[in-house]
Amino acid sequence: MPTASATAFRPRWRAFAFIGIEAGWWLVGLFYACAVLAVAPFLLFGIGWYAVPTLVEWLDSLANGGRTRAAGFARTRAPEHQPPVHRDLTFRDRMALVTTPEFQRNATWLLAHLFLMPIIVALGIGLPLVAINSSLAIVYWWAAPLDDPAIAMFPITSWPLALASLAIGIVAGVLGWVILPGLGRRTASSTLSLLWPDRVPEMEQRIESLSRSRAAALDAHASELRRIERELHDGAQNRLVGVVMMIGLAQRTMTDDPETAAAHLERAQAAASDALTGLREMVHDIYPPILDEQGLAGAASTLTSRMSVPTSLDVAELRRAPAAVESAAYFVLAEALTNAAKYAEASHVAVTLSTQSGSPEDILVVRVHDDGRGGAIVGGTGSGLAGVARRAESLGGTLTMSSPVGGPTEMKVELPCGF
Amino acid sequence: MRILIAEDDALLRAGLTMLLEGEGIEVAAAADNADDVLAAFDAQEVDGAVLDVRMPPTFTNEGLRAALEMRERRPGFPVLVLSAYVEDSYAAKLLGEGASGVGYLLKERVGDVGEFVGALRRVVEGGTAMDPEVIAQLVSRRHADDPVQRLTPREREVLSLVAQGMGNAAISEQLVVSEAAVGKHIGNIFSKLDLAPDDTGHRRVLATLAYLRS
Repeated sequence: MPTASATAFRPRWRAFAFIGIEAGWWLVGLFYACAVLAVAPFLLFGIGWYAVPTLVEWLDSLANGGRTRAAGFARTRAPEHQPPVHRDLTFRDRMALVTTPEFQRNATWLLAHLFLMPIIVALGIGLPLVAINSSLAIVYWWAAPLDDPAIAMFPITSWPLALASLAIGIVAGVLGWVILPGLGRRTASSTLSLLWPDRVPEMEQRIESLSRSRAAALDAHASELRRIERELHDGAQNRLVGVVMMIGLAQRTMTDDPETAAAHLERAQAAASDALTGLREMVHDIYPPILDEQGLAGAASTLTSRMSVPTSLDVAELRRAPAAVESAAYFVLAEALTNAAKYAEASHVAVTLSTQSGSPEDILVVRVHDDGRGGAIVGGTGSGLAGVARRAESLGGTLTMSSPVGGPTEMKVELPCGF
Repeated sequence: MRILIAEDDALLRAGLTMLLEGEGIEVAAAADNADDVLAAFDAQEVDGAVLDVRMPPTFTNEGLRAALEMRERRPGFPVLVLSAYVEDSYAAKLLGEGASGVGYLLKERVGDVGEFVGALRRVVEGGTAMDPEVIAQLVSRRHADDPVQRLTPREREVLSLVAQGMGNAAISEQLVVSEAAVGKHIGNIFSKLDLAPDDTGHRRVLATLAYLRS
């Protein structure tokens, strides 16, 4: 439980530290400005433009640092920042670099920073230091020799002067105490308002990434439809053609050879049963009904409880995801568990399903760890891992596999949730 | 009559073999992929082939390509292609190589053993067997101001059967009318569509198919 004095002190200390750190960076900014001034004359001869991309990148990282620190102090999230990378620029490109809104914003900030920071430092750092220095003088001024007196704001050679110094110290201390929190806040908020990027490019970026994930979702949908089409044609439909054919054969032989006809009918029945089994499996494969009833967590626990190897399941960080993502996660998990049970000779399997908040979209992570003999290869025959990789890819996800010979095996599948 | 079979589904392959042998047709080889059936085609003396369109490895149109390859190596070699669904471009490809001895049927037509075997025999004898679905698609695609729209419903029926590759006798049997009536319908159709009236037998099928596909 913080005491009242501690709660009053902490924000002031934060502001003091923030301004102190900014003062350090102010020096870096000053060096940068010197570098710019040194390069400036050469811009007239053209050769100086070769330094421009580097200077622009430096300014960007300076500004980004300032923005990040200000956001940290203000306890807000800094906007996402993509550092510029300049390669193989033509002369025109170099000229264009200094006309971007980003550069102009950064440059404005730097100028303001260079001119205003000394005032802020004088108030935010200077006042507290003066307060301490002037107040403490009263303690030791008398010990200093007369020809080399203690100096606070002025040489202190007598008690009245020492008391005056104490008074100045108290005033500076009170002033500093009062203005420090607000000063820190103002500094941070003006930095942020100078450096806050235009919303438009940010929106454009967001739209771009949304359209990309939408395209990926459509692709996934199309490949899923292709898979279903193929399974219907090569599975159920072939079985039914078989049924029709066997019945046709039975019809043909019924009068002359009833025994053969009966055999044909039996085959027809077997083929029809096959068709039904195939259809049932396929429907399950399209969307396992259990996912609808119990969600991914429930469906996963049914899977893990069926394991002969002790298997733990952690779904603490799992949130609901779109049906397509959940069903992919379900099949990925089923495949991974089958592999672990079949090949790994593990004594324990740990499954973690979690949702990672992310930008622009959340990511569903399926992690399966076993302490078996390892050596699983994604391209390996019969492992079904290739299918897992395909399934993940179709949703724009990834499969990462670590399985050194001798184990342990860790499979991680990340599936973007599309929002 | 010696026939090659190419069908990747084991049950259907066995069934087709059984079906053809039951009808007194010798099955020279039954392969489950395009390469094997082409090898058998090169190695043996055969009269025709029945091929599934989709076969491994890509399950797209291996069977169709094998059929075209056979007809490339032996022009006019009778091929009957079976497909899970009607794809007009498949039919067009087959017919493009000269339509004599070409069949394109939906897989499920094997259920009517008599008709299926009849179609196969027709193809082996140099005729044509187009699936009614293919013809129906071709007919339904005609524009509103197309001469086909001026045919009577009965004439359109006859046109479809002609395009499927049926002879007058088979058509009269199917429609339960006299052969003379069929002949009259065909005369009317050919004059309405502006086709040469002297086209008879197989050339007649080609003419109607060409017309429908144009």
